[in-house]
Amino acid sequence: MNHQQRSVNVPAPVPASWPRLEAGECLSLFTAKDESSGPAGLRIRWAWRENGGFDPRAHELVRGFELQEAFQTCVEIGDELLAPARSPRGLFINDWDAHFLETNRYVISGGSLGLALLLGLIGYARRVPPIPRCFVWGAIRPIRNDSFSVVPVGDIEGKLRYASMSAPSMIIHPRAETLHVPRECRDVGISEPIKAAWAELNAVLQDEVVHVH
Amino acid sequence: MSEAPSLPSTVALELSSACSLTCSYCDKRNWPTFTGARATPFLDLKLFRRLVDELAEHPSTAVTLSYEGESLHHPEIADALQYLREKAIRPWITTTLAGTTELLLANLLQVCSTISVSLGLSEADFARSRGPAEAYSETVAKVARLLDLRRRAGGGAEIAVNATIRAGVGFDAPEVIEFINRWHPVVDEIQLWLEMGFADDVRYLHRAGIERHLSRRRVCMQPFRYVAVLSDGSLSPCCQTSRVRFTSIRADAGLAAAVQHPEYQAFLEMHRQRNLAGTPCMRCEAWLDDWLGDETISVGPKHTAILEGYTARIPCSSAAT
Repeated sequence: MNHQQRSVNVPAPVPASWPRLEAGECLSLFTAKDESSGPAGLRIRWAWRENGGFDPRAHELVRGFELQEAFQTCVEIGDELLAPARSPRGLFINDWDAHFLETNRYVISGGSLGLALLLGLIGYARRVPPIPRCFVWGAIRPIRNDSFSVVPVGDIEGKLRYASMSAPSMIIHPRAETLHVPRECRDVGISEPIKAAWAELNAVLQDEVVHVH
Repeated sequence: MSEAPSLPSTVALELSSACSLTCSYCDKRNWPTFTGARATPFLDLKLFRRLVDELAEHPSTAVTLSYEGESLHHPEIADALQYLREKAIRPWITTTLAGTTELLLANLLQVCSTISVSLGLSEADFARSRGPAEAYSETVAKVARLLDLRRRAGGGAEIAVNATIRAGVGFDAPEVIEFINRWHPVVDEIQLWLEMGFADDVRYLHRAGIERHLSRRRVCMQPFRYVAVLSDGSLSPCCQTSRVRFTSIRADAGLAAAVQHPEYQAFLEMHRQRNLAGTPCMRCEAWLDDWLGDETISVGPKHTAILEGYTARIPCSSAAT
């Protein structure tokens, strides 16, 4: 959920430009613990692939265990909800973004990208490209009914502030978070229970495809 | 910007490893099996002061005086509390209040942020799992005294009571509801702990709904967030049991130095890699507690609890003034 700067002299990324994403790719948003020493936010792209596990290159760019756990959690959820098909088994960081992080000595951490990864996984399985100009965040935690729950993330204000600078068309986030999204931006709150969340993500992905085409 | 906090977010100071009770769910009873016995039963007060000095430099680190013994049994507990007060450190303490005097209760109220008193669900439950029934009556009387002292003083530490729910007993059991109904009107919080089993392994005994999650090992966060200074100055990076203990690190050189010690760092790396063969962690399930999402649950017809892993917290109609 955070990125940290190890050295200064970093050009802040231009938030207004939007990358073009293919089916199975997804965009995660990280906000800074300390805005005085780096950009307020970073958008990092990931791509689901059939195999390969959690990108070995990403280990140097990541602190903590939450990112890898978010990946494993999505695989587990996908295996259950895509059955009889199975989840893809590989998640790779975008080459350019990896290079950017490495060059600027940024480290990303936190599990707030869980929902973004899950939407990317659905897109991979359904072969549907991501929703244009859309930010997604939300953590996914195991709960006591042998299932999972979508839960709010930290620094919601920072995420919303950064997202708003990019004129997003949609923000997808845990329903338990109350957001005041920019005008012209669709606010999509996702339910806590994972099966409901899965259905809602599928629906919103389908809606947008229909809308775009 | 620093790479990482220099101290874990919680530091436990086991002032005393002596305890008058023999709780069935405390790993202290397994010390003979897992070489848990301490070289000294009471933390040296000079060392305690040095540690408190260091902790005072790290205000974001929480301090607790609870581990596997009853810290209030320390012969110089009054001096220890006074020093914490001078350094403006307000620790949490989980205690039986056994052997406490009126003056010590008053000190605890002034120094601590929270006093969580360990009870049983009932006298019978206490006698079954903790110790003699008379000790239960004594502890209940001490809680009443603590509440009275706080009322008279016009404020003080938060007062909570806690009980452990043994395997096979649910949150809706009559004895649980009765316990909550009894204490809810007078304390600030009720804490209910789902019993963990300490045998050759450390297991969840309340397993319903978590079997699936237990099948995939995640990284245990405890060594990264927590360290306990045991009564003999040795260190454990586990909040559950001292059967995990460093062999070549002591608190004498300071906590920040301890955390940077190669043995400590190697232990963290083993956890990062989940390469735990040959360690007690290999046979422990408590790691899941770090990952379980908080849930709001109903406890009986009237109450709501926040279930955080194996701990349920029930906020009460505060008795604080």
